Amino acid sequence: MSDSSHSIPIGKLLRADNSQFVAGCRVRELETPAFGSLVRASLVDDTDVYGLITNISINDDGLVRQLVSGVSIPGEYTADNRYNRNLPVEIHVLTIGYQSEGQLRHQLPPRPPLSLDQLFLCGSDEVARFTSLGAGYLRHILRLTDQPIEELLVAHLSQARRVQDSLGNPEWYEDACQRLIVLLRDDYMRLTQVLDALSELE
Amino acid sequence: MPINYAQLEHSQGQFAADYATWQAQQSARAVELKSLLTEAAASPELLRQAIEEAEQQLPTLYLAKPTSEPILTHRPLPAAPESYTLIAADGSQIAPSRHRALQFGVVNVGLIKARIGSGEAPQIWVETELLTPQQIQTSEGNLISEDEIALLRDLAERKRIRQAVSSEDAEPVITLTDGPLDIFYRSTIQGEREQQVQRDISEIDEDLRRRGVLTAGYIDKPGSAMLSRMLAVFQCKRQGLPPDKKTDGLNLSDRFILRDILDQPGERSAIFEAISRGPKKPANSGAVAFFYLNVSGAEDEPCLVRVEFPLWVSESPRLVDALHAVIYREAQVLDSHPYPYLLHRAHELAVVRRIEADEVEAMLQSQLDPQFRARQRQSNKSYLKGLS
Repeated sequence: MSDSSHSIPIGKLLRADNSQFVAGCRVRELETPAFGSLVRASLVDDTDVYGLITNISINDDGLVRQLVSGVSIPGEYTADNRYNRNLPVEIHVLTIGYQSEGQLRHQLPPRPPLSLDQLFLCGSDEVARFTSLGAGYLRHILRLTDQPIEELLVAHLSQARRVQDSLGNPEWYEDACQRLIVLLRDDYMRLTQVLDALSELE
Repeated sequence: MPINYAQLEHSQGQFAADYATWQAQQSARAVELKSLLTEAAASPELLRQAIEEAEQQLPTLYLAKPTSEPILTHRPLPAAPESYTLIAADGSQIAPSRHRALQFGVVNVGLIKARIGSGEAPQIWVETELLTPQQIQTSEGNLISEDEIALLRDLAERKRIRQAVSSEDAEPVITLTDGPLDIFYRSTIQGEREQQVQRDISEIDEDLRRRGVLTAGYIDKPGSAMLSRMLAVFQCKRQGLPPDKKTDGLNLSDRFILRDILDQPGERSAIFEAISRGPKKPANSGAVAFFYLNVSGAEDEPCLVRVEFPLWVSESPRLVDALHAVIYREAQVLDSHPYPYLLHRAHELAVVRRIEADEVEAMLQSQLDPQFRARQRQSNKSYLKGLS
């Protein structure tokens, strides 16, 4: 298992398959997870499944819809709906690798995490460790079809670049960009979109 | 097919015609009663005498008694206090049933407390009480009725409310429960158990009164005809008849009588005392007052509810104004279907669904001795119903 001393628990697993999973958390726990962040689900068999947050969705119900149309809601009742009511925020995660028996891999795990497994936000040390293995895991991102992958890449690579730069590895980001160019060499349109988005990091 | 729709279709036309007739009769009664209300307002002394005679002569009575306010009073919405504490409680129960494998009863109370003006999220509690085998049986060994467990639930709500009130709460402190304040109105509980509940309720009421807490009951779409009965007594007095002489066609929900008087959003009626006397009514229960309140946000759609509170509150115009303003503001949070937000939340917290009742039963069964557990079976009727 990973050293979780710098990991922050951010939710528990609702549903999963090998390539993605969804965790639920309460609104008060929503201050830490962010779009594009590296997260880890720890399984009972000591396997860690790594992923990137691809979407955060806020659920509603009949009462929230009723309140939305109201003209005057005291601040206390807005807080009640956010913090007291059982409407979990859903954190959607794309699986990008796993660790088993101390070996980190940028492949899909043999088994998905199980419901109610704890989800942790990875600290800088884990981000460094995961990304130091190379940028091969970016292929999982490029397989997404219903997500804004350019935005996801910008969000994730800015985090990873910051961590690698702090470790004295400024070439890591360049290698990652080269990897993206190789992976997208047959899809000029998408490559253009990705590079255009990444230009915001320059 | 659960419903024979062909048969329904055959009779629905007649139903519509009968319903229209009934509505027309109600409208006619409303006109008659509004006129009588105006006449009673013009003769307050005669009305007072009529009610006092009825109180002296009739063993069973359920009517409205005017207080110091003229009965045609319609008060506009006052300003709400900037800060106050509102506590709502609602209960739910699992009633014991001989059809279950295990006979058990549970009272579940949801309570929510908001410090309005603080900006903080309200505090919430859910208290679940497993009733003892002694509590779910009558002295004859039968399982207690739905009414009795409802009484225990209402008592549990009051107890939780008292616990939730703190000396640090911003005043005024207003508590809200769903339904009439008098929790004995439907009780069939008797003997020592009844007396114990009465003692508990009296003690809670007195304690809350001493602490200046405004306990209110909210009755949505009220059906009671306390004004009708008041007017019936008035009519009898005027005609020289005894107060229990039935006056045909006079019973009509109060909200139909006051609809036109409380036509402005936020208006409340005069305060009346609820005179309730009957075989189920404890002699020492606290006096209750009420007003009707138009909780609608639109001028052309009056929506009248009844708000009950202890009679002592009516002696303080400041407290009555606070209650009036807070209840209206609270109902307006859910403005398209006005109902106090916190009361809805308390219900949401308390409600026990069938699946949860089954889970509690399974949990309790798991604690039984295996040999004893094997003998506990649900009724065949219940089992077969579960198949469909």
